[in-house]
Amino acid sequence: MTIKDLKAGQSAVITAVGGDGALRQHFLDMGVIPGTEVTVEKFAPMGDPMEIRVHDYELTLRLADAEHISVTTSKDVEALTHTVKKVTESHHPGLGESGKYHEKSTENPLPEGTVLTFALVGNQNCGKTTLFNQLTGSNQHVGNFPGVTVDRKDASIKGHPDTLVTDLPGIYSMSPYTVEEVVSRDFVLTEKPKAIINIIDATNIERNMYLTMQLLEMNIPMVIALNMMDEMTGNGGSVDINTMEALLGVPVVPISAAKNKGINELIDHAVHVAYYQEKPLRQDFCDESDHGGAVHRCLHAISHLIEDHAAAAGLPVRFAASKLVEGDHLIEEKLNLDPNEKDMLEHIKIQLESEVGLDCSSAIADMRYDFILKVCASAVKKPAESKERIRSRKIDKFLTGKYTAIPAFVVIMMTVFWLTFNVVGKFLQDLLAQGIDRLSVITENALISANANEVVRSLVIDGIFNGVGSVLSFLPVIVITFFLLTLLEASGYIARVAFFMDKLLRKIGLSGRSIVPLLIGFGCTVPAVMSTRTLPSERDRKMTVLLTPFMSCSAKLPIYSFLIATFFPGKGALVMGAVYFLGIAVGVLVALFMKGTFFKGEAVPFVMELPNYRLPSPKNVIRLLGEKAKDFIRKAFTVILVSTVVIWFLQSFDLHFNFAAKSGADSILQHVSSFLVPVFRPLGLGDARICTALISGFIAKESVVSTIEILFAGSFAEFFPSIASAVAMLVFCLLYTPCVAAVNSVKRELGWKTALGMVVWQCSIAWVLAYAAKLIFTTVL
Amino acid sequence: MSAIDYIILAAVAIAVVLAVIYLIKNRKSGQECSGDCANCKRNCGK
Repeated sequence: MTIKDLKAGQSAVITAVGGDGALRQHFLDMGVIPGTEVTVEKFAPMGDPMEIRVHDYELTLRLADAEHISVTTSKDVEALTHTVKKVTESHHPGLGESGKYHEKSTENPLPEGTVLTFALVGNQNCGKTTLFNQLTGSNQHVGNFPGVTVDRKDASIKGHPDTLVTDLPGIYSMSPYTVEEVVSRDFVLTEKPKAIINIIDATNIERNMYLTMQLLEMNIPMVIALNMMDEMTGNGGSVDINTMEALLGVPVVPISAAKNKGINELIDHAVHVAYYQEKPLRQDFCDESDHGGAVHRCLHAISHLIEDHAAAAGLPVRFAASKLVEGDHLIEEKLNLDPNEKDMLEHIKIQLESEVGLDCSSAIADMRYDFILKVCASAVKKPAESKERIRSRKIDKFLTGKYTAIPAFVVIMMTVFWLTFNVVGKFLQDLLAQGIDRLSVITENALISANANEVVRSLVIDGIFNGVGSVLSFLPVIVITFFLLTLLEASGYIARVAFFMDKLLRKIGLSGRSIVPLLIGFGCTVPAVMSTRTLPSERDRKMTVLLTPFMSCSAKLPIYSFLIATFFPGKGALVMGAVYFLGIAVGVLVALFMKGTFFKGEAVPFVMELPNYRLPSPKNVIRLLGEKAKDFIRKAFTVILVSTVVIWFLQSFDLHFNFAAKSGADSILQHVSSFLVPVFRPLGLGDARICTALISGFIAKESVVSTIEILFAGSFAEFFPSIASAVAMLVFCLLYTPCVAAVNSVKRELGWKTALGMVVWQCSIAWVLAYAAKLIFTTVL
Repeated sequence: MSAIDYIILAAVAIAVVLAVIYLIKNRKSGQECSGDCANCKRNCGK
């Protein structure tokens, strides 16, 4: 029997974890190990994936992966549960405190002026970035969605200029299976921070301490920040900090990063252990009596075997020994063992497996969780089911319910778009556009009255005000989109959307997490591309980035409206609906094509923690909006400014550099465009003016319409001999390259080559489909 | 061309040059993060 066979609400005990490679190790790291009790919470509305409860937290996994986890519901099997001990007065070990742990005579401080470097390490979604912001006063993005931190960030601690804290991506273990884990592990091993600040979610100590065990093995000064203590104690739980400190051999500081409590004490301890290089007192967690001491003997034997190699490779010996047992090839390569030693290693591992009855990876995971359970039994009074959890369960009944999840999602997303593009965003955009227009008129009048040259006036008004101004007017829409999506993400809803959309997206080779960028793409491709950063897999991220341009962005609406009003009067809704549908359909086909060619393989396993719903902190939301606005404005005044001046120049001067004025007739741009005329002739769009308009759409989609208006001077409808060419233009505009801002954001995420490739790819698809549309309509009509 | 024309042209030229310098500088210092830490050796600090 496997987890997949359990019904919602049913509990069982894990008997074996099958499968292999990264996924299996990930399961073990997440606490899915033999002997653990697991409860099925629910299945997604489409029946896959499922949500299970293990070690007091919720985990999602696909049915295909759940098939590898065998369970038994036998009543004889006793689940591992805590013996809750009443917390009593205990002795304070005084670790990381002056005059208590070390004496003046034996202390060995670092030389004055040494920069104290810290690695901030913890599980995903345990409040690391919130703590980083509190420690450093930074403005980093905080979410309630696992994997918000996708790259490292550095800053010094407030009031301690000689320190540098690095916020590393959230990880569950130091196994080398995910990008984040490799980054974090390499940082700790190669850059050797002076100390580690390990942040633990106090409401989920068991799972969080699994990483702590591995960090302690690295033999680097460390302090534990027990975060969300307010939530834990608020629900009746408590931690005997002194006992925990004594058992782990490192300072433990209870904090609440969100409420800025305990931060100063944490800083004092962190600076102290780093300055005096106080290493963990304990790295040996194996119990001599556990499984007849099999794991203990195995680890110690390997430690002795590799001691010289570990020292030569600069690796902590205990860490290296554990990793060798787990079959970590990267560590094995670094150790450069002799063939004889490799043989001995294999023999020791085989002996371990035969004595314990588990494979090596499971035996190590089992040993770690055994120790964690002992620590928790001695030092932790588990809280009752938290208010947040009860509230989340109630909300989830509706938002992830079998029949309500999809309708609720549709309503929520429609509300987001309605507020963004119809109400608040549109209102603010119009307001800003009016302001820019007014400023433009005032400036033009001022230039006229100052007798400014016609060329200079054109540069300022037609070039800078029109170009930068039209892009700047999108600022409110961008900010509002991010505001609403941040609310959804920070509340924990986006994680649920990923959960119930996974099955659908897997059919086109993506995982549930890709749904958000694709939805944002209907608003604007720029934030859509930026939001792919939360995707954990490089393959999924690239694929999602390349698919977002197929979701027709809002800036293309003026083009559709213009063409519909000109050629399809009275059929607006039908044509508009068809255009959007075509974009999605082509996107799906392209995704299927990508899945079978450039991006072969499956989307990453959907093993994700579902966080409780939380009210987002207004400070964090405002902080994020400020960042986004700043980023957008910076872009408008750099890349957009330069490109608008270049386009203005090409549009305003002829080949002899004579000013060609507003009409753009005989301009350099029109000469350049005329080279494209043969390319567009088969589509029925073989006119330099149309080519110019399409090129100007590369700067901003809205300018396609304004360029057509200027160049055709009211004769646009007469130009088209048939509706088929108009349809071809509609299809081409829907699918051809996104604007320069979007291409720039793709360049930021995936590099120039991919961005350029995407432009060519989009234009080619647009051309082929526009040609097909023309042929079909010519035949039909 | 009057003095005001030269002033405006100079201002626009300076703005464009500064924007180009900013873009080039950011590219060289690696501020434009690819988001892919495993493949990217730059420490962009973002």
